[in-house]
Formats: sequence, C-alpha cells, structure tokens
Amino acid sequence: MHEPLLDSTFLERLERLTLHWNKSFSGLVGGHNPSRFGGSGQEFLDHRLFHHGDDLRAVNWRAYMRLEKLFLKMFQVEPRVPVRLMLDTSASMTAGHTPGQLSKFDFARKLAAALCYIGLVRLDTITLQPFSTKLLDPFLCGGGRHRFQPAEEFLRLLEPKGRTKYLDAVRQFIGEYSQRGLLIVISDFLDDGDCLHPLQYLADFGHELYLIQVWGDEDRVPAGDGEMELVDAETGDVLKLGLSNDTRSEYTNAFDAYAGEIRRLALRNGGRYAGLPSSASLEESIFGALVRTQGVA
Amino acid sequence: MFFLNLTLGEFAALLAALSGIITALYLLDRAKRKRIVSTLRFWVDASRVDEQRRRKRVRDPWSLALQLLGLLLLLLAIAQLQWGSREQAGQDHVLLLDTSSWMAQRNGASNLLDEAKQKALAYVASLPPRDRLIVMRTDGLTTPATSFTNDRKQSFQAIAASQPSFTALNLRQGLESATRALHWSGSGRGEIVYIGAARIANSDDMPAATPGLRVVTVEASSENVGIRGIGLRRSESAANLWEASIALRNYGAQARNVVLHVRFAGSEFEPRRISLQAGESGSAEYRFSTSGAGTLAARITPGDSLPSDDHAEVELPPAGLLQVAVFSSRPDAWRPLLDSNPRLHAIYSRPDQYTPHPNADVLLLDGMAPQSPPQLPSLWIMPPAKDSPVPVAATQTDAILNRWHTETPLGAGLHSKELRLPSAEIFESVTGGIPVASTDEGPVVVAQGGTADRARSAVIGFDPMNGPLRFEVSTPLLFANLLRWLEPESFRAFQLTAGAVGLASVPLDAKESAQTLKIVDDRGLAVPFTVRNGVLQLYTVRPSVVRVLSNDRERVLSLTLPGMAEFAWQPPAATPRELPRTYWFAPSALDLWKWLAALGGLALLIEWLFFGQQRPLRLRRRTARSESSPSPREELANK
Repeated sequence: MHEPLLDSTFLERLERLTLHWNKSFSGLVGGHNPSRFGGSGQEFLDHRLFHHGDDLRAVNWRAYMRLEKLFLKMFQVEPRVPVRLMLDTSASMTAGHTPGQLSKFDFARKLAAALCYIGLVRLDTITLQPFSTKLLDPFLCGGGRHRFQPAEEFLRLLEPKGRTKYLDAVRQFIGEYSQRGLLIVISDFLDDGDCLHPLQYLADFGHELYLIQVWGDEDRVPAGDGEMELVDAETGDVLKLGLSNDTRSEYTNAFDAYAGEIRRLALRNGGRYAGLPSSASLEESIFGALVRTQGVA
Repeated sequence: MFFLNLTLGEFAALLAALSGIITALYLLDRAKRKRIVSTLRFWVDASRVDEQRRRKRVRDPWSLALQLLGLLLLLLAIAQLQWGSREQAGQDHVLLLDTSSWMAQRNGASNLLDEAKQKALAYVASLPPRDRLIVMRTDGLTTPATSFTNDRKQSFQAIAASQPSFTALNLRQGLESATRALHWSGSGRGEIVYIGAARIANSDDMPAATPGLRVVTVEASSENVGIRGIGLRRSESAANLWEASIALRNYGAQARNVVLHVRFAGSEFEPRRISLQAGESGSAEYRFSTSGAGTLAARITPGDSLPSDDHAEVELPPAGLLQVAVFSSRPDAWRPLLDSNPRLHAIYSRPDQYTPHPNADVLLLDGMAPQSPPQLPSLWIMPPAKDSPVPVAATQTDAILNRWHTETPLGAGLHSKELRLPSAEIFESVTGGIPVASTDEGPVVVAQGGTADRARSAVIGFDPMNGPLRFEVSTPLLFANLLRWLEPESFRAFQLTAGAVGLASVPLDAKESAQTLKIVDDRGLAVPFTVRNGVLQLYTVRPSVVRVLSNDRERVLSLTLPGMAEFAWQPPAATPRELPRTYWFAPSALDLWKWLAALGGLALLIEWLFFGQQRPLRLRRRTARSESSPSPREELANK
C-alpha cells in the first residue's frame, strides 16, 4: 500500500480553493464554475417536458413507460476552458535539494496533485502533461473529486529521467493542443538551452501561463567549500572549480537573475509566476505564494 | 624525555609517519568533491574568476600547519618532555635488601642484616630527591616493603623494620622481581641495588645478567656448622621404641669438631663428639624407648656466628596403644593372640561384667549378645543368631572357608588354603556390609560401617580360637585387619622430621596420592602443596610444624631450622660494587607535558574553529550582490 501524495486533511482544506485564470478564451463556453442551466454533460441535473426537436437520446423512457408522458433528462453544463498542467520530469528535478528534504520532483508532483484536486472539485477538466525531452503520455481527468484517485496514481508512477528540451516539448504541445486555455507549468526551468523563447511561444499562441518555478536550496545557494567536481544531472557534463564565498555569491546572483527573467516573461504576457523552494511546506506554498499570485483563490 | 620508550630516531620516524597520515588526510579533505547539480549554466561565469585566482595557490595552508603543529605538541606531551638534562630527571630504583637466614649471622653485637641496613640507609640518602625507590625484601621469596616513592622516611622505616627470615636467598627470583617492578614503574629506569651477603642456597639459582645492577655486599663468614635435620620414626619391633637420626653439616672451609647434645623429656643422652671436614655432612643415630609424649631436642656446641641452626627440636606424640576390652569367659584362649601385638593392650572381663562404655577403644564380645548395644567400635565372635548385629541367614556345620575378599582393605594380605570350620554362621547381605571371608553359602566374616546411632562393628561367624584355626597365620592377620579398620587412629604409622624452613619435599608411598593427603600446620590451617612424580612439595615462610596425614600414616614435619645458603654468588666484574655519590643539590627537571598537551589541543581547536567542515567561526566575506539583492522568494514576499 503506497502512501498517498496528499493526506485527506489537506485535501479537505484544498476544497475551499479554485483555479483562476484571467483571459477569456474565444470559442469556449463555460467559466470558472459549473452552470446552473442544463445542457450536454455527464452529470444529471433535472427533468423537463419533451419538446419537439429535443434530442431523443435524452428522453427518460422508463418514465414514459410508466406515465405515458415524454420527459427529457437535463445534464449539467461543464466548463469548457481547458486546464493543462505541464509537469517537468527531467533528471534535474532530482538534484539540488538538501539531503533529508523533499526533492524538487516530489515537491512538484505533490503540488500538481493539489492543483489537480482543486480543479476536480470545481468540475474543471484537467490534462496532466508530463514532459522532459518531449511530451510524455498525458492523463485527462475530470468529473469531480471522486476522479482524483486515478490522477494521483498517475502522478505517483511518474519517474524523473531525461533531459529538458523546452523547445521540442513546446513545439509538440502546440501541435497537440490547439485549443487555448490555462497552462500551468511546474518546472525548475533549468534547461541548458533557452526556455524563455519556448515559453514565449506558448504565450503568443494564446495560452495563459502560470509558471511555477521549483528550486532546491542548493540550486540557489550551493553548499560546501573548496575544490568541487560538479556533474550536470541531465547531461553528465563535468565542471571543476573551487567553491568559495565569492563564487557562491556570483552563482546566487546569476540564479536570481534567471528567475527574474522567467517572472518577467510570465507577467509580461498576462500570466503569473510563483517561485517555490522545495524545502518549504506544500501547505505554506499553496496558501501562501500561490494565493498571493492569484493562481488559486 | 621518554619518547614513548623509543629512541630519538624511532620517535622521529613515528612523528614523520603520523605527519604523513595527517597530510594525506588533509589533502583528501581538500580534494575535489564530486557533486551532482541541476545545471551548470550559472557556474561557468561564477567560477571563472575564482579558478584563475586559486590555480597556483595552496588552499588553507594554515589548516595543515596547525594540524601538524598540534600533532607534534601532543606527541611530545605523551613523550613526557622535560626541561633539563637526563641526569636531572627523576628515576626509579629498586633496593633489594637481603633478609635471608644467612643475614642473621652474628658479628659482634650485631648481625649481618644490621650492617646491610646501614648500607641501605646510606644508599637511600645518596639518591636525588626526585628519584623514587621501592624497598623489596628478598629471601626465599621477594616481597615489596614499600611502593615506588620518594618519601625517604617511608623507605627508612621499611629498611629498619626488616628482620632475618628462616629461608635461604633465592637471588635469581629476587632480581627478576626487581626487573619487573622497574619495567612497570612507568618512569625513568634507574638501577637495581642488591645489598646483602650474596649467598644462595643452590648453584642452580645463580642469577642471570641483570642490566643496571649494583651489588653492595656485606662481609660474611662462611664458617658454620649446623643441624640440617632430625628424622624420627617409631620402630616396627616395639610400640614404644623410637629411632632418631640427626644430620649435621659443616658449611665452612675448615674442619670442625662439635659436641652433639640430645635430650628427651628432661633426660639427656650422652654427648657425642663429631668431627666434620670442610663441606662434610654427618649424622648421629639414637634409639630410645618411651610411652609418653615429649620433645626431642638436639644442640651442638661450641656455638658459631650463626646460632639459629645450632639447635633443633621435634615433638613426639603419645604412644597410642589400642585399648581392647575383651568380654569373654575364656580369656586364656585370647591372650596368646592379643598380647602378641605390641600395639594392643587387652583388658579381660567376664561377660556379666559388660558395660557399653568401658575405658577402651574397641570391644571384643566373645559369644555373647549384650542387652544394650555397645557405643564403641566392636568385634563380635559367633554372637547368638537372634541377637547378631548382622542378621544370620543359616548356621552351617562343617563349612569350608574358601574365599578371602582381598579386594577390600579388610582382606588385604589374607591367603590360606581351604579352612574347614566345625560350625559357622552364614550372614545375610546387608546394606553397608563388607564381606571379608566367605564360604560357598555366604559370608562368614562381615564388617559394618558406623552410623549416627551405631558404632562400627565386625562379626566373625565362627570361633577362631577353636580347633586348627588358632594355629593358622590368617587368624592374627584377620584380627589385625579388623582392629585396624575399627580404630585406624591407633595403628597410624608416625614419621617425624625436623627440617629447614622453605621448600620441603616428602617422598610418598605408591598408594598415596594427592586426593588422600591432608596437610595442616600447627594452627590447623590447610597448607597448599603439590605432588609431582610421587614427591610431596610444600613451602613455608616461617618456622612451623606441618602434619601430613594420609591413609594410615602421619608425618610430622617440624620445619624450624633455617634454610642454609651454601654457595657464594660472584656478580659480574663490570657490576658497580660501591655506594653511589650523594646528590646534595640535585636540580630537578621541569615537566613540560601538561603545557604541551594544552598547546596541542589549542592548536587543533583553532584549526577546527576556522577550517573545520562545521566551522562555527567561518570568516564570511560580504558581497554587495548577495546582501543587497533580494531573492525571488523575497521579492514575492515584498510584493
């Protein structure tokens, strides 16, 4: 029996939250909350008298056989804004954390599970899309909180491996998902190539970006002192250097500058950005940083 | 310096080896550590400047220097470095004071030990104040009188309290003990000083060459004639007859004539004049008869400078006749049998005069069964069948005694052809019964062990005084065995010896073993002993009387004579023979090891504080960027 990613107490607290987006996406119906009017959908809403032209497939034939009157079943209209969650599963997500703490990958999939649950509670349809070098098999979930268990199982079975190639993954994403919607990207954004331009492509395509950058403590402030042999977790490249306070300071400055660029990209395109250290608690991250950035409310 | 008991070269090698290990550990600690990181994109720019800056510079040289300095200081502290020359450092010495029996030799109003004490006191006074000394008294054994101390008063008291012992000097053991004590002292190795007459008991005990030995001898005269021992045993022919042998020896280099005076219980034998050549041993034999206890004392005149071996005494036990109370209506028939044994004294009474508590050791009940059972060991002769102490199974006429149970002590030595018995009682087999003689129908002589409410008893189921049996040689032997079994104390063979204190050896009979021996001293305490190759060995350190009890023998060792040293030991020619010069104002060396240990610890502490992995006092260099620019997280918080 595997330990669940999120415990039930925390899930109860998440039920108060809702995923938010700012844009209005053309050609879509539905909004943030389920409609009070009937329509096509999966969840039963009510009955009404049959009128000429109604869909015969929605007639309640059992009631007709008993009452000899035609009643039509009405279903709840589901929101149509697609919510997609890209989860970075590259090998770099396992590096950079302090021993004894959650890795970036574990933190990221717990966060993804929490956001997925928030969306399910509000009857949003969410696509979980893991990626590294390219897009991996997605998982589509919707239909309420009782559909959370398969999504959690999907996230739990993910394994971090591969090299991040944002350009290839974004190109593939645009090709497969033509419908615009909310795009949550949970990643460390540590691509040896350029990840800013691919993200800009996504924004230009019409997606609303919610960029959540996850870093380990040692990703930002490297520990240790003296001669080091640094090995890239994804490429295996080796760099030998002497780590000192000066070097550490330069490194942190470079990291902060890069995080600032990602943040500016998100804000510039009408999206949002949140930077979360993996050492922070998940509850603090969601009810603190994500609420402040209005990603959830 | 002790350098951990190493030479300077070995110490330097040890320091170099440890320094090499420290340097290797230092280099290992400062070696490149492999670390897996998420990306290298931020490192390239950050490391370029730093790498150029450090390329040709050893990192943290002060760390290595502090570690090596700390190691050096700690090693010197362990080596107990002292400030001053080696002569100024304190050393440990062992003073072996000879307290053997030879040191009791008189020299005017004093003895040799008094002279040795004076030299020992002079030696102690000559030592530098920092030197420690242990006083050990050595004779047959070597015992420390003090611990290693520089309290001279304690050493003086131990020397003054020393007295001559009764054992001869075992110098080899003494020097070995002194060497061990010096080795374990843990301080500067001083010298071993022997002060005494240097006379040892055995030429086999010549000591081996001992480093650091100083021998200060006292002049002793070797002219001495003494009693070596007294042997005393009871004659086999008569109970009250004793045979004594007194051994003398001339230890000197000149012939001597001495007069041996022997007296027993106030009666003096005629003095005997004995001439002994140099190194010759002689003996004198005495035979005397006594039925009582007493002391046999031997003394030689004229006396010499060692009076302790001019006199010896042996205590004789009482005669120990076995009192047999015979209740019989035919005493004349018993007299030839019982009176022929010199160890027996028979008292004859009629059966109607029977009493259960007669003044005797053993009862002999001839053809009678008393109303009250005897309270003493008893021998029954053809008791009435219904009152026999051993149930009678049957009465047989013309029985043939055809088996003696020689496997038991009761049947030892009994052999005969078939004996025809006119009438015999056949006894039943009972628990605890020991058959001694049997016919085909069953035992006719049975012995029965004693219990809490019943004394030992033996029953003869036929009349040994009737017919041809009285002329058989087996009859007196049977009675001797039965009486010896009933009252073994009275038949115990005595052997008395006067010998020297120290190691005593007693040859044992073939049937005697360590399990059958019981050895006690004159205080009744058990004496430890060993039996090796049929010889009993025991050791005494003071004059005492030791009783060796076995099955039917008792040996009394009166170990009151002093152990004599017959050989003079000549130390090696290079051995110092005189007392050392006196250090009146010997300067003392200064101990530095405490300061060195503190400094070494301080060096390692400083190294850990400033260069350790978990350094609490890391020197942080502030950088403008890291302190002034907030992190993205802080930016968000501010936002």
